[in-house]
Amino acid sequence: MSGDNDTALREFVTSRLPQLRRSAFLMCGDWKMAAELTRATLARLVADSRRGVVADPDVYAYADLMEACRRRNRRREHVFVASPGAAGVEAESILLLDALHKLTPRCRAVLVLRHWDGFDAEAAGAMLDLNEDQIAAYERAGLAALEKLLGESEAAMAG
Amino acid sequence: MSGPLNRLLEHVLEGEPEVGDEVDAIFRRAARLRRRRTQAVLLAGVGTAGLIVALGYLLTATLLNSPPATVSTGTADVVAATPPPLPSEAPAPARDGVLAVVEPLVKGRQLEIVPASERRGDGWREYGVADAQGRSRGTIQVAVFDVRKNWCFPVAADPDACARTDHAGGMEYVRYDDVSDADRQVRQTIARRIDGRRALAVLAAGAQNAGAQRGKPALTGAQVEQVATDERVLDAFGKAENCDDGCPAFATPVEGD
Repeated sequence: MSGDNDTALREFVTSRLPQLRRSAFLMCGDWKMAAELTRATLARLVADSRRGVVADPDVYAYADLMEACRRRNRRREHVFVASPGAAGVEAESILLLDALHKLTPRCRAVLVLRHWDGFDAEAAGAMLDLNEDQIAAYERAGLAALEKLLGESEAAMAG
Repeated sequence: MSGPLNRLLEHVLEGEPEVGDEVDAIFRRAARLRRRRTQAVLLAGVGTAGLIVALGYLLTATLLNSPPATVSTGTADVVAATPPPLPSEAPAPARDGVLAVVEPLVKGRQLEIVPASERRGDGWREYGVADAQGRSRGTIQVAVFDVRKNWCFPVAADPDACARTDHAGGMEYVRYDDVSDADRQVRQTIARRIDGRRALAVLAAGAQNAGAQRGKPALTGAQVEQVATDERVLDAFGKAENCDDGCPAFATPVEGD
């Protein structure tokens, strides 16, 4: 993407904004914070693209966003915050978000990138600065932990 | 679990707020970010340039401030190394007693003693003067001479005559100002303690062939007189110092012993 190609940049931002914001929400559990982090990431992407220093805008955007979410969540207990005008959120969704946020940030990022955004292990590795073996290990551990946590939550609710 | 997890996550995202005009907001934010980065780069550049200039000045002042390394004491044939200058950015006001008297007067006229121009020898000191733009405004010379007991103040027009002296405190003195030639304006005073055996000559010469304005001496006639009759200046020279060898030329020479 050329640094001075504003039309292409605008198309990229328009097309990626919703998906990036959803990924940010899955990472941080707060729509307002997700929107803010996504705006900041895309603004940096636009500024750096104009300087011609962005090789792959997708890798840049997701890597920056995941790092921003990781920094924002550091030392903070997760609290799920629904959108202000949203209707009631189903209990299963809250359980899933809660389970997701009991995972380590890196484990959560691997699951979001691989299972929500649909990136392959190589792309996810480039975004998180991990090799494919590490991605596979985080993914296995994350899925197992998530399955266990969800099972425990469902059992608790049934009980 | 990949398939099911994807579907489960879709449900989590229900209630997603509208995107609105966030794309425009992102581009505005990118423009602000770019401006801030440009300002930061400019500030860093200015700061770096300032630091380089300051370091350059400090280094130059320190290195070029060194006076000639030797002072001959004449008869004793002893060579003494003068102490190295203090590594200070500003010229140390008390590094020599003559300068301590001369420099405030020069600064009072919005001029500067150029540290690199300072020269000294046995019984004499010389200071170059520049204006705020760094242009030369001539020199100031101060020298001490051993004189005979019956020595008298010279008269330029008659080598055999003695000039009538004025008095200031314990000093007697004669002014020898000559500003008739715009290209070589000098103000000189010769003084000594009444009936003393040492004469002090102070000369302020303007920049030569630089026009009437820049050719004006750095000190007025009254200031030259003030320096010459300030006993601290006479006392600033060592007792063995005598400007009889390698001495700078004065407009009105002092014939010593």
